[in-house]
Amino acid sequence: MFDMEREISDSKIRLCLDCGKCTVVCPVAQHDPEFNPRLIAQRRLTQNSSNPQDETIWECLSCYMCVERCNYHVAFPEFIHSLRAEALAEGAQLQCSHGGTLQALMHLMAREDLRQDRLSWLPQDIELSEQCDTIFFVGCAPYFDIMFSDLEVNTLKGVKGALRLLNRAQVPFTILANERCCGRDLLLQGDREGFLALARANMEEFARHGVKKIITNCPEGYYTLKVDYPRMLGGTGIEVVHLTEVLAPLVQSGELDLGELKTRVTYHDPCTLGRCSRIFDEPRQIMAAVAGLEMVEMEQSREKALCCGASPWAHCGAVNRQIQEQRLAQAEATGADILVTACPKCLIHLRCAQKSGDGRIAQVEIQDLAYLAARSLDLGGESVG
Amino acid sequence: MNKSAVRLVVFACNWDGLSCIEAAAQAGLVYPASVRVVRVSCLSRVHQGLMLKAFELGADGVMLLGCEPGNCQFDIDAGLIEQEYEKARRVLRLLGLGEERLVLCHIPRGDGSGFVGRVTGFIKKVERMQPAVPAGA
Amino acid sequence: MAEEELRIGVFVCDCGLNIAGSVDTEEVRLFAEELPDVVVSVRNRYTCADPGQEEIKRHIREYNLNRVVVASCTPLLHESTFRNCVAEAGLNPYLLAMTSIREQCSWVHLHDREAATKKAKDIVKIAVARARLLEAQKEMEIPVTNAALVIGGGVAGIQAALDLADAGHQVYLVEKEPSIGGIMAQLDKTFPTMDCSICVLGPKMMDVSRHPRIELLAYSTVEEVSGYVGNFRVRVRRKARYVEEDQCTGCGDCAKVCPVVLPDEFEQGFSSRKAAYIPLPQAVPPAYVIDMEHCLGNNPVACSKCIDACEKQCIDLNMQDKIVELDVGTIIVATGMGIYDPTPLDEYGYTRFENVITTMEFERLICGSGPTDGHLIRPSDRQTPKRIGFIQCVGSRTENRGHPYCSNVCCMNTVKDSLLIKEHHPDTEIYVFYVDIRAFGKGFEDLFRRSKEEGVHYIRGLPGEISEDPATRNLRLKVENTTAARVEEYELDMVILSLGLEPRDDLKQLTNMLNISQTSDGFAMEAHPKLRPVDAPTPGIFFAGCVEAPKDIKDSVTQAGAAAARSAIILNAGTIRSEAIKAVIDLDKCTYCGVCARVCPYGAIKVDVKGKTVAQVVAAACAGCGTCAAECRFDAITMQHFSDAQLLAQIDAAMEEEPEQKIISFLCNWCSYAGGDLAGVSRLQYPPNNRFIRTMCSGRVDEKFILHAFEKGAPLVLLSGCHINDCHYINANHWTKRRAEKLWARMEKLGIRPERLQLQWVSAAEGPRFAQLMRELEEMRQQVTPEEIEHTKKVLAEHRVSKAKAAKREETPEAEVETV
Repeated sequence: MFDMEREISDSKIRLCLDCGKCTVVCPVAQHDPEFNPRLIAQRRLTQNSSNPQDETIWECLSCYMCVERCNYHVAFPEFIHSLRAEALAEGAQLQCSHGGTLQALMHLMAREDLRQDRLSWLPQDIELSEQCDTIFFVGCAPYFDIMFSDLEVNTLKGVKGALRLLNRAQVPFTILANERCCGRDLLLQGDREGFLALARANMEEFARHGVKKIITNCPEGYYTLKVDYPRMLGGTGIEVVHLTEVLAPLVQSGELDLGELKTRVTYHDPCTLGRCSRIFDEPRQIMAAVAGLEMVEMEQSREKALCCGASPWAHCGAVNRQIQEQRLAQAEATGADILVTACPKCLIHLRCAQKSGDGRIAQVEIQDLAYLAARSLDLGGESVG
Repeated sequence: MNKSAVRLVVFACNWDGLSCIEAAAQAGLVYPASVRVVRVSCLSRVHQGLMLKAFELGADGVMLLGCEPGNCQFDIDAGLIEQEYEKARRVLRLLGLGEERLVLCHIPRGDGSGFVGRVTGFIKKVERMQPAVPAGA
Repeated sequence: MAEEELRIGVFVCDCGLNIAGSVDTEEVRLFAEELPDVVVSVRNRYTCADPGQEEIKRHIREYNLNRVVVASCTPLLHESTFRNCVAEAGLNPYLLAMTSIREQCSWVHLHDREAATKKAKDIVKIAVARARLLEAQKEMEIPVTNAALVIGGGVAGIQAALDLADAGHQVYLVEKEPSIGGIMAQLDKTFPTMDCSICVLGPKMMDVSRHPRIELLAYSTVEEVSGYVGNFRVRVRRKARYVEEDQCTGCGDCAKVCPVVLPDEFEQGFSSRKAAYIPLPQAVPPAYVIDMEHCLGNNPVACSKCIDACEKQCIDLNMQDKIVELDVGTIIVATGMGIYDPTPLDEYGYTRFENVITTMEFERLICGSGPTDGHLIRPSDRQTPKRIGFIQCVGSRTENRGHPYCSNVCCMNTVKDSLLIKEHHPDTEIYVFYVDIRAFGKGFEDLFRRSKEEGVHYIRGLPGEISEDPATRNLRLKVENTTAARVEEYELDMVILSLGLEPRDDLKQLTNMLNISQTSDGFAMEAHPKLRPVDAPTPGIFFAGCVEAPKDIKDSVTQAGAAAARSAIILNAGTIRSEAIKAVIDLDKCTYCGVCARVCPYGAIKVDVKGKTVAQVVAAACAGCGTCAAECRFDAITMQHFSDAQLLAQIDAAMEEEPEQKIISFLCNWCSYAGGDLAGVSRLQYPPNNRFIRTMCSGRVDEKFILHAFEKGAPLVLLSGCHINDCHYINANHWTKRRAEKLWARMEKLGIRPERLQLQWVSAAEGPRFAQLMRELEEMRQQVTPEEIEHTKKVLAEHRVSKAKAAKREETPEAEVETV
């Protein structure tokens, strides 16, 4: 099932020039001198076998900053994912964060006979189209909001905002009652079997309902469904679009009118939406369409955006916290009232840093882009959340 | 009750919780061998992750067995345990497995028969529910 | 040739293990021996070597051979070698058929000896079938114009022009800029000698201007090139200088009074020039020029200060461009290179941070005749920088903004620059950030060593980002010192980006004009990278300097000498023998319909449709593409050496056994066949079902060949040639495309799946594409059912019979004249 040689070759890591640009721009390397992406590759390739002692392979955030700068666009994050899978296969132990809660959840969700009851949060006035082959993929927001209730993240706010926007834009869709976690975090951790179990369960669910198109506002779900599923399963035949890809043309053409929100915001490009999927303009076009909204860029934005320090629910530690501190400081420096992001994981991780009790961490308010845009539709702040 | 197919995990705190189990054993009270006991120092050690993990590994039901409020050996606020318990229950509900599969029991110290009564009652309830784990898993 | 008894000799080459390693050449030899008309079959270890050639000659004499088949490497490599060989033995060289069982067989089927051997046998059978029908030909001798055109007046063009002129030939040197000199004139010093660049180049520039046999056309561009080797006609536009070149004394009074101030491109924008200007003090021709694009206007004349100031009265604002027609025998392309623009690399801050400059800008700053008189200062505050960093590989060795190749000169250029700085300011701290230091040439390692001894720091690692201190405008550079495996920060006063070289933007225009190709990197493509490095694939055209690939001055000069020598071979010969692949009209069959004249890319056929005179081929102009023969509906045109009969015989030979297993590929000599050769050279593997038939041009492939192949049971036919705008014969492949489209329509009507005729363009540089195409074709072939093939054979046989009957009934039909 797992062809390490081919995965190494596919990542193009053998083309590495050893120029070290990746090390310079890597946020983890900035805070942890022991972490050196270039040397991880070298160690693995010169040994030609896995090195279970190399602890550093767990620290990579998959933020793709190295890929952005690399002369050959070496797919270093994918290489890391392969190394992790190899390490686990050889008996390495995964250090799950939150006591393994998320891993347990993801494994439970892969059960074939699962009949979830996960739509109770859905507001009454959201219109779902019957017999529609387009679905809105919600993702793990309902579960996140329970598990991280003490962080007061409320990622469902973003989902509800997205649904209202789609309704307002008259984009037809339905929601599957039994969609599963996309599995990206398991893939990143090296748990191939776990990922494939979720992927297959999802594909069966999609097939059962004749799904042809998926809209989602979760960047991780978007990328996984669009790229990783075909790559690991061999083609899905399903079109996957991000919410902003659907809405941006509509706000630009005037078909969707966003109202007014007088406030100053700054935007955090999620790594998976930005560098990975190259979606930089659409979120900005949506914000630009909200009257009165002043958007100030952080010092590191778009292709150079600093990662939020999110982990795949494993090996989360001091370095992640330092990166979150840095990012929140950059947000604060813009003078913005609100830090807007478009990813539930960014939201959770940045909130976690803010709630940590460390006085140095900037407490700027964080909101989801879809929630913010929906708010501007003059529906009143409360009815959305 | 002698036997059951229902697999239960009981997280028992080392003090009040365990005392009930030991009392039941000393009194010769019988409950199915499919009930596995995991001893912890304090129930506050059992966060939502461990509860869900038990289900992941094949439990049909999980019982948290601890002290009555105010009796905690370590003076831990019972609210903390409540919080984790509530979170895990809500996740189970969302998963469609049923929040009733997770129970939190406060039993007086050394109450062996009380424990056995609660366990057998729990097992019967779980038996009436759809299997949490598919047959043959 | 029907009367004479055919005596064919077949020579199968082992090529060491190159062929014998994957093909059983003995089996092939034995097989060849059994073929009809073959009297002897020989196996050779290295047929092209002396002993091998001697053996061929010996066999010709001993066995009285009148046809020779050599099955070895690609004819593109050694056909001329073997033609000479058989000629020496007294046999007409056109009685040789050479075919490749190496590039097109042994090298691409390394792991299936049985299949490779089977294919090799087929290849030999096909070649023998052709050989039977070959006829002796006489090559035309065409007079050669004893003059050469050199396009580009940089050091390479200058050297080539001087060498040719000194050898006694007339040379026209065309240069786009107002002065010759090129990039070398802008450099301060050259490596490894640390010579002053313009001091070394200047005298050569003067030699050009004084040479009686060099006509310098500066401020001129080549607009059109027609003709062929030995007889090129070139149209040159001499741009209006608005100054009489011969009269101008270079006094500069016009520039003093000109009101228009512009950035000086020669000085990299660090200083200014006027609209009336001379590009450099040592300009050749030493005349000023008015930059009419920026002059206040000459229609009507807006200002006339320059005219008033000019004592010699040699400014004429009403001057017009002049068109000059030149006749030359050879052309040397020496148009040089472009330089990568690093602005997209925002992490380095070029154009955002003033003190980040390029190597070219540095050359002007350090040059004594530059904008700062050679004082090294930095742009923001004009202070002498005390800490300088060089970043290597900017725009090179990358797929992420820039070019994938190595630009050859940047390492040594930086080493040289570091020594220059140390010369001027010994206590400057210099850091060179590199991945490799490529000091491969003579004296290079020495220079590198000197640089290190002078205390220049070489840090292995490329900076990930540069930021600027807004107060001091100093640069902060973060880099992983990969030798130490730690990230380091350097504060520097100035950063110099070591830029890569790239092809010029306007190269495509020129290559189109000359009918030459570019490699995947965009540089001009040479005929063979090892054996013919300065020849273009088109005869009579040569390269010198960076137009062909990045290189330093020494290599440019060397290449210029080589190009001049090879030009001189043609010019000295006085006449040129034209390959005897010409169109011959059958005067009885010609109906003077005029189609051939219309389709000939060279205008080499003359027909008077109204006057009802039969077509006449101007043999000297005929390039041998064969399009006329393919288009002629009356079979009135024979292509010498690539006749209809020979091509049909090759198809028959290929289809004789197991036709359903084979894909017939018509490959053109210059592109798709060469692409196949490259796939072989690269050892790319593909299935062995392909049977190739080489023609000079895809335009040669008559629809009757394709239908014949299908009628004989071919599952799939490939028609392949140069990419649509890159045809070696200008535009002959447009006719190929038209023909394919008509055939597809016909096939559809006949109930034959049109996709069984594949039309795919493959260039000579596209080895991997060729291999991939072969794999895809094999997959397609496997989908063709035996029933389909049988049905096709039946339908085509009926179609052929009914057509023949119709043709007999008809009078000469109306001519269908189509325009391209």
